[in-house]
Amino acid sequence: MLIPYNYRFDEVKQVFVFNTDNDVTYEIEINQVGETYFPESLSLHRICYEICLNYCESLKTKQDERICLTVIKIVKSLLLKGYILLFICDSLDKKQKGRHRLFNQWFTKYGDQFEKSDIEVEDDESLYSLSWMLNPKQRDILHIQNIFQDSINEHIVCKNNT
Amino acid sequence: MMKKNHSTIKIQVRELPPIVKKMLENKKLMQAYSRGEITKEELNQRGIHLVNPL
Repeated sequence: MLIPYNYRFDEVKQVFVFNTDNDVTYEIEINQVGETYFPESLSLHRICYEICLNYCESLKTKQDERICLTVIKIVKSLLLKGYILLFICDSLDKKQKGRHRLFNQWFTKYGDQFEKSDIEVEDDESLYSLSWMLNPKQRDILHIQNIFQDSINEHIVCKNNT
Repeated sequence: MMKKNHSTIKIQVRELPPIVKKMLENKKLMQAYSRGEITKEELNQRGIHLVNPL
């Protein structure tokens, strides 16, 4: 049976770290963003974080399910504490759709206890995929969803829900 | 099949909403930090404070 890799929190670098069987090091950075992104929503200040997964792409090898299990384990731990997580796919190399698809596969497999909303934002230059996740037992879930949607609504030219 | 706990909104914008711009900027900075291109102090100066909420 596959199990997550052991991970630890690097107190110096302030990141979660784990190493794979192929000797690739993954880092997960967590940044508290509630006050920055939603200054008027006091209820989000202490519970809203953005999460960033980093690894050396040149060292990445074949698909490794244990990476997914490890990332999901950390994400679940945060969601179970009542935190809201924001995530945006890197778009510099135009591979954001693939990353978004992969993350959705992970969530579909293992994220059944949680709520995930994706927003695909397209401007004249590119498509950006961002997601936010929370525990459906979260108090005021509708209020929180409205805050997120209000943060982008005024910029919308065209909208499509699925 | 799409799960009930997963929704997607697709939007077109003339200009990226500030929250999206800031998320992209933060992502670049956190990646640069992970690669050792900037220090934790520089990251903090740009408003990013990495934490362990667990």
